[in-house]
Amino acid sequence: MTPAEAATATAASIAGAVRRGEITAAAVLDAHLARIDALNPGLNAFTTVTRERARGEAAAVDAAVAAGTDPGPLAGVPYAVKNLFDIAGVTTVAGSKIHREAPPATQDATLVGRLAAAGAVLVGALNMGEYAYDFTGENVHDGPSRNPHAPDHMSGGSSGGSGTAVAAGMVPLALGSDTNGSIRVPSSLCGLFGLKPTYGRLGRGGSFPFVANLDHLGPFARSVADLALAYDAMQGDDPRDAACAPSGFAPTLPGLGDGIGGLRIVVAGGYFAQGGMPEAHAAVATVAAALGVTRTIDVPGAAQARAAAFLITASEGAALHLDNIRTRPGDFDPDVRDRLIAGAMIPAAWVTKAQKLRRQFHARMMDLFGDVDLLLAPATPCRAPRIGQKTMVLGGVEMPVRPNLGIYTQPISCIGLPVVAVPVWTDGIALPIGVQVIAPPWREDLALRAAAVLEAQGVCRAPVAR
Amino acid sequence: MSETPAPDFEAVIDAMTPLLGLAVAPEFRPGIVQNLATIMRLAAVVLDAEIDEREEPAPVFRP
Repeated sequence: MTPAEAATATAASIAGAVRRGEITAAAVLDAHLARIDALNPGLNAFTTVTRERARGEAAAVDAAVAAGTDPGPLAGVPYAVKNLFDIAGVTTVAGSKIHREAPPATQDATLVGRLAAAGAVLVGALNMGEYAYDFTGENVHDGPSRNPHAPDHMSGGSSGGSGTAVAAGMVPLALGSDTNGSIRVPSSLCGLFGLKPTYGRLGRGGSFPFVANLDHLGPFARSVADLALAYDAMQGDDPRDAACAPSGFAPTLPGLGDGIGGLRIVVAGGYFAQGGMPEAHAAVATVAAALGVTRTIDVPGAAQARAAAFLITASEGAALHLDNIRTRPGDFDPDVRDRLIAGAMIPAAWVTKAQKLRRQFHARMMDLFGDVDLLLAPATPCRAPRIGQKTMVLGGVEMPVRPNLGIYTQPISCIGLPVVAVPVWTDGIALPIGVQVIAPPWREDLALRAAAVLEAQGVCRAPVAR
Repeated sequence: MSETPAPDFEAVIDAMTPLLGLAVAPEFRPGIVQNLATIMRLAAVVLDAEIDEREEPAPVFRP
């Protein structure tokens, strides 16, 4: 593998080449830093580049290879994290102006520590919507992260820089967070594979919260094997995360090629079959046809679940930031500030009912999963809107872009189901759109297997933007 | 709930800001009103849903 090849290679191929001694981690790193230096000024994915740390981590990998010791399954793989993950020595800004005043983190986030232990090389922190309350990838303080496939268009948010960096080929792997869709929306808009695991699966220690009972962390990549590789490396208990379940290590990479034989896969109808642009529903039909899926079933309660997640988010997000809204409202992104102030006015009784609806929807979905192994649904209602676009027309109704890019992701994360977002392309159209492959709790492996089939067929792919 | 006319959001802001200890500048109001309208639309979906009175809320604290 040459440095030029390494610059846009997958994580798995980089790790393999480094482990075999075909290329050094230092050379892989230099190739990626050169791409970041060339592309980031125009695309705005990174807010911090951790060159010194990266050089140290790459040198440690190269020393391990030279010494004949195991450098880890992600040896020499450059990656970056949404800037709400703690990086020792770097201030965790969470997309905000206010948290720029916070002291540098003293310890890595749990998942950063796991990737480091696996031999990966952290190259920096990524742009995001302020405090993760965003589906657009826009940020008034840092500027928008741009869609590498059409830079006048949104990356999606709130993990916008994560989508931009991976789609542009600045890194093969990035981490993001997903409270209501913030991994799946940028995966859809930037044409990537993204994994939002089961709620409680991956430890959130050392990450800045948004809505604690809805927050998830997960990876973005340009191949399904890379998702599985990173996900497997990050599993494990996390004493720093009260919600991290002792679910045991459930590796997905060994069974990734097992196919979908015997799996009962259905298209989510009802709520999920309405309200999007034609391309959103066409993408689901494309994926369904490729997987031989002919059955569509209604998902009762999805609209209520989306509404419940919306209220819980608005209320808890407002509670998290209430002190700063009181004392320094001018330091927020005005769009975020106004949402937070409105959210602070929600009566407690409404939020309590929303939490009960969540329980009810969970019970209904568990009934549904008695007869179904995987559900297919749109990831976003449209391809990437233009940066700055405030409204869009869905189902004949003009509505704000910011809260509505997540109409299809929000009901699913509301009950913590694992999802792989898979990208679908149409000939002659520069921008992709994603489909959610949704599994029962703790069955990330099933969604990854289906995604691997789609990738092998060429139906779903995540090319580096040109 | 869905048959209740939308409240006067400006009055809601006036009533709630002292309770919350917020000072809302005039230029914040249009955005807050728009967000309250969105919240009301989705709250109606939640409040109209039938739910058993014995249903538990979702997050359970386990000491």
